[in-house]
Amino acid sequence: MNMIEVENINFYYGDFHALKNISMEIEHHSVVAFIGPSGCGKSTLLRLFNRMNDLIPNIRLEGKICIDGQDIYKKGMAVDSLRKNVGMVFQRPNPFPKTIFENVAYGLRVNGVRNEKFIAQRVEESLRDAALWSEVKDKLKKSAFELSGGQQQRLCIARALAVQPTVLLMDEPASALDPISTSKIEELIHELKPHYTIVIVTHNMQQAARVSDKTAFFYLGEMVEFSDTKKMFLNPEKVQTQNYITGRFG
Amino acid sequence: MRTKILAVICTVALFAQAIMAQSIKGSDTALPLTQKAAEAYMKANKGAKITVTGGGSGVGITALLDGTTDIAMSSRKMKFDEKSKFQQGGKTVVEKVIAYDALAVIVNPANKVNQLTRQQLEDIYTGKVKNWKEVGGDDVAIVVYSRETSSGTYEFFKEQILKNKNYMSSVLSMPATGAIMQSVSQTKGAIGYVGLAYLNSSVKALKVSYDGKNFVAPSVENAQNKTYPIVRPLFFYFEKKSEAKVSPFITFMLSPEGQKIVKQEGYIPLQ
Amino acid sequence: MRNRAEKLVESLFTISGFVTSIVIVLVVVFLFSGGVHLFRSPSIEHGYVVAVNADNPIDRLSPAELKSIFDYEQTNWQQFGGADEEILVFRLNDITNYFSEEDLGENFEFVSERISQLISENQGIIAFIPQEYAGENFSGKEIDGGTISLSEVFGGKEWLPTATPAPLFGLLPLITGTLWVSFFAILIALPFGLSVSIFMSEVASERVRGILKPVIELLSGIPSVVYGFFGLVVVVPLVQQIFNLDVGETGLTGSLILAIMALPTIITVSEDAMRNCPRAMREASLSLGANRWQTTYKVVIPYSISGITSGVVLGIGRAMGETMAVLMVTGNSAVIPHTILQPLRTIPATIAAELGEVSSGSPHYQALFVLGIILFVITFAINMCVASISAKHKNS
Repeated sequence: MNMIEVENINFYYGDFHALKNISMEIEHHSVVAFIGPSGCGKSTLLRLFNRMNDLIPNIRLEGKICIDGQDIYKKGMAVDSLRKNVGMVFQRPNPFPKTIFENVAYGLRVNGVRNEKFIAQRVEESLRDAALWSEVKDKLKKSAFELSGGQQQRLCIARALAVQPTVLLMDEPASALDPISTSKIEELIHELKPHYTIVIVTHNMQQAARVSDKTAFFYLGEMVEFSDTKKMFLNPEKVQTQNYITGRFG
Repeated sequence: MRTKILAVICTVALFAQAIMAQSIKGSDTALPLTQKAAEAYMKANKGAKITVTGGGSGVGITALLDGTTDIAMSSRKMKFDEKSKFQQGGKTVVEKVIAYDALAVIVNPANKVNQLTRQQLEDIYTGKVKNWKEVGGDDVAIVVYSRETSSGTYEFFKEQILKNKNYMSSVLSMPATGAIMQSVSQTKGAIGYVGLAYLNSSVKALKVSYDGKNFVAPSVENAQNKTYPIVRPLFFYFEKKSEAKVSPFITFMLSPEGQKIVKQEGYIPLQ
Repeated sequence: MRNRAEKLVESLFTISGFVTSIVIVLVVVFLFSGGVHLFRSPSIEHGYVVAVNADNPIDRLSPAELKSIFDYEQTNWQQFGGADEEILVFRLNDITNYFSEEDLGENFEFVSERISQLISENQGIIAFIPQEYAGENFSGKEIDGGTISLSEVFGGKEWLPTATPAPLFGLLPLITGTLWVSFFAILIALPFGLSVSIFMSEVASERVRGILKPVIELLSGIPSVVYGFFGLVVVVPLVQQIFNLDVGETGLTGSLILAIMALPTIITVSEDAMRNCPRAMREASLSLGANRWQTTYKVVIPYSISGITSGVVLGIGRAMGETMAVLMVTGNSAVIPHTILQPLRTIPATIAAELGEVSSGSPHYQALFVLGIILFVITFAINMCVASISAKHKNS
């Protein structure tokens, strides 16, 4: 079975038809990139995977999304545990106004973990996984705001990893970072791939080509093409895709 | 066009200033009375302009000292240090009694007590008597209301009833007569004092006796025939040098017509 | 041309900044200059003297001792270290009890002589008379009341600013009254205000918020006298009934009214602060499996803590300085309160009630300025405390 299965979904913001009849499957331990011009619906789809769109008033969803075999929009679905299972990294680094340690420990604490030893262990593991441990191990009690932007974003990744999700959603995680920090994030994605299923939204075509196994191209709410990244960039099926990746529009 | 209007306004203002514009300031007790009298006076004398404002006896006297008012209303006699300040400034002050005001001692309507002697009032206000049963009422604690320390009424009550002793510290001081009325009407054990003009059916006025034998109810008649004892004068103070300016209004105030207004407003006329 | 305009605007801003600061400094200077002379003023009322028989060994009496004598609480000179002699209190008005009108003369020209005579005849007399009657051939001995002392003012338990011969300016009842009322007002307003602002920013739908917010903002537009009336007519009887008290005018009544008055400030400011918490911050928390309450308590409130504190400081500021409403509902008894269910007197109420009638420059006037300084210092201290706390919070 695939990790994420999307069946014929249509999504509306009020009257605006934001996602049109989309179906896709995402395999275990693969990296999938969503590309497309602004407003094409790629972030909206990503946010449907952890029901982050629930906060927005006046929305409507048709169709079915299954993660790990579970229909996540069925009645009685525990949204908290879904979100614990599906971690998310946002466009801009958004650490909490807390210490570095407490930022990473946050997910554990809100999920009821009380064992301080276990928390300390998870914090270290997560920071190591996010390739941040060596930089922050001496200042765990310092405010997270004292870190640089790139470090903050890796802290946010560590924070998401701490609760041991199976899926990691990344919404343009490097768009606010400098090239060096960006390459660090990309390396990190490679290292995380064996353990997580990763969906990444990006505006950066090269980035998509570098990090992903498969790529989906969205345009005006429709999924135009979804195929292996190599194939998509070397030999796209649709003209629109061709135009977009060669930079003729968007 | 605009400058023209401005010029007209200026001339009118200057003109108005020239004819008998005067300001009166001071005691809030005398304020409603003076206000009414000023209205009647302005009606009778076209062109006269009198502004009456309150603020308290002290405010009025300070304003007179500073020269920002022509007449100061006061519900107490000018204090010694205030007088000496006028002397230092080389000013002579003239004092005129314009009316009398009687103070009524009031209790909650549910209170059984109908009369008190001055000595009993003194004991209540200095804290020696704390329960109504000690003066012939029910077993209810006495809640003592007074005006604020600086009000002329407070000073007068202290002089007359307490024989210059100090009020007990735990007396409740209210900022205005209306507040005393409200509190006494809703507090069972309450006692307070208000000007005669303010009396209404929400409270009960007590008969008062100085000699312990004759108890007299507060009323304009009883105050006028001097049987009711708690009566105080209301004063106008002005500078001697501005006598010419202010005397028409003061004459009006003391005339039978003015004294009629005094009576209408619930104060006690001079004669 | 544009450059010049920019320069002009810039200098305008600079000037207005300077003017504001200068005005604030001037207000503070005014406050201090009004109050500073209090401790140099003589205790005994200006223009009067307190005199005793020349043979009386007593030279000095403190204002409190004078008060106890003139209130007939102490009746023997022995209590003050004098001879075993009854104290005879004499005020100028009493003179008609001793002398007929003829004795005093047609224009009272013999008054001074008669007083002198009276004092020399009575061993135990203490007389409070205008200075002009204690002239050259005066037989009595003037009592030295000293000057008003710091310990009497800051340690004194009696506020009798119009007492004669010597007023008492004990500030303790007023300071404690102010602190009690403010403390309880905050105790009531804080949890209530915070829960309303959390409700409005985190729970309420846009529609409910759209109704609630203007209503709460309207509350802050109501004049304080109206709150005072409401307190006197509604809250006072209510408190009296609920706690079965003799008097409904208590510190608690004042605290309740102040809490109601401080609520709009606390609510609107802290609600704005919480709504300013970025969506990304909430989403980050939710995406980690936190529920809405966890997100509110662990992320939104810590993030907006400085905004919330400033709302609270503004609220406290209003509560501490509020005059009219408190004046009408706390009963204004100048006693040190032992419970919040007792009438008490606050500093702002005292200033508001008394400044209007006091003769300017007198010790009473200066004592009111001292009260103003104390109020200023208290509010300033609270602001500093809260500022340092919120700064600490931000660093950690």
